[in-house]
Amino acid sequence: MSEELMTKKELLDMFGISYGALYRWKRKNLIPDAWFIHKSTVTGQETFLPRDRVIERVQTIMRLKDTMSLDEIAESFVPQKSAAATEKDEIILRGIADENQLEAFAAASGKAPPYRWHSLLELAVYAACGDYHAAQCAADFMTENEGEASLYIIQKNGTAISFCAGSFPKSGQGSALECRLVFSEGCEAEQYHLSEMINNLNEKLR
Amino acid sequence: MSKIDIRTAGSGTVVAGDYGNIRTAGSCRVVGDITCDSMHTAGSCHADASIKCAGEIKTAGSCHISGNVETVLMNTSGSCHVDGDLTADSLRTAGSCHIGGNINSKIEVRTAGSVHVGKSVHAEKLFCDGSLNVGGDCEAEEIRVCNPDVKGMLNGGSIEITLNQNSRECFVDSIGCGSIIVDVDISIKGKGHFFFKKSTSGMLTTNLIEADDAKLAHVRANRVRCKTAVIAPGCEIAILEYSDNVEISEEAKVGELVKI
Repeated sequence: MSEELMTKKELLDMFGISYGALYRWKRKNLIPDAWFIHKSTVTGQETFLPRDRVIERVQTIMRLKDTMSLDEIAESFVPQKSAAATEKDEIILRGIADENQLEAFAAASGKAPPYRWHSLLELAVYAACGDYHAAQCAADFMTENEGEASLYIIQKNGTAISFCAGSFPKSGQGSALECRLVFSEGCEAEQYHLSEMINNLNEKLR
Repeated sequence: MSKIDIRTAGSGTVVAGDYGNIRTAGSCRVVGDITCDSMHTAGSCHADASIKCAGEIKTAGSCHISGNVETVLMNTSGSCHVDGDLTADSLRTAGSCHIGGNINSKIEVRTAGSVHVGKSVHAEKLFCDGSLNVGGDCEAEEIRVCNPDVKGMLNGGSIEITLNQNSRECFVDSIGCGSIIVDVDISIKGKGHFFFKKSTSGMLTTNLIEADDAKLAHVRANRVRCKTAVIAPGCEIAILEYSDNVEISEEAKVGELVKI
């Protein structure tokens, strides 16, 4: 996913904030560690930030910081940390799943609404792929790891194998997972981008 | 049902379970994960386990925990070794402390002696008197350390680093903060200590310092970016970018000075 980047200096100048403020927000997780991207340039190693995402984030922080504490603001960016559960009507209203998908999910999972974030993620993945066990695997995987990941479901002759794979950068350092998939004849494969699904789910929950 | 208190003396074994107060003296072995209200060990304690404590874990002597530790207070003296993560409101160590994973503290980490952390440190306050060695990032609102070695980023609201005669060369990959003061130990400043020649303190080497205000001495940096800076003798800075004002000692070396 190539995204336009900006330097820290550009960000500070744009909003009139200081290094002290930027690094405090990084400590408090208001700006995720993964957004600090190291690249080699002619001047040496420099750190860049994803332009659109960080501008939107800083605008939100500036808007909320006089009425909420930094810890409260940080929690609002991470719906998975909230203990609140979402009712069935709310799930349909926010476009997370429709009535039929909800019924099918309830039957497959044995869980009835209201659903907390972890179950909502299972529901979102289940709505996309139709396989509850794969959805469960994906939700568990993304709860333990934070980064870019996908769910792969490979089917042949009625047998399905699903697995999750992703790349999870340590703070400030990039890491990449190379994964080559080879499908034999008669195989069908589907890929579901879990990090995108999480972003969509969080958007709908906001 | 009230929880069982355990007291071992001489040689004893504690098996997995949920306990009240655990007191061990002599050689104690913990086999299996335990939760407890408090745990005091004196002598040697070896836990093949993770420990969750609702109160205070106090170790005196040698303590080795192979799993994670989660507690309110942790107080160690002597040698303490945790292979996993240590999560505590407050951590105090005296002697040698080795944490294989992360240290997460809600309140303060206060150490005297040597501290070695395999991954990252997150605390409100971090006060280390002695050496600090961190494999990942080190973050706290208030940081006061001597001779730090940090492979990741040192990120603090206010950072004070003191280099003393044991410092040799310290390395911190990058520093981001509101204010930073790096200075040499006052007892070896000036004409020289009785047994040591002048300026036997080492240097703090870093790739990048980004701060609002920086007061640096004996710092070797590729790049410093700040609002205001005071650059004292012993500094070697390749590029210094500042926005408000800067004061550079004649005995300091600054390669390129840029006002932005």
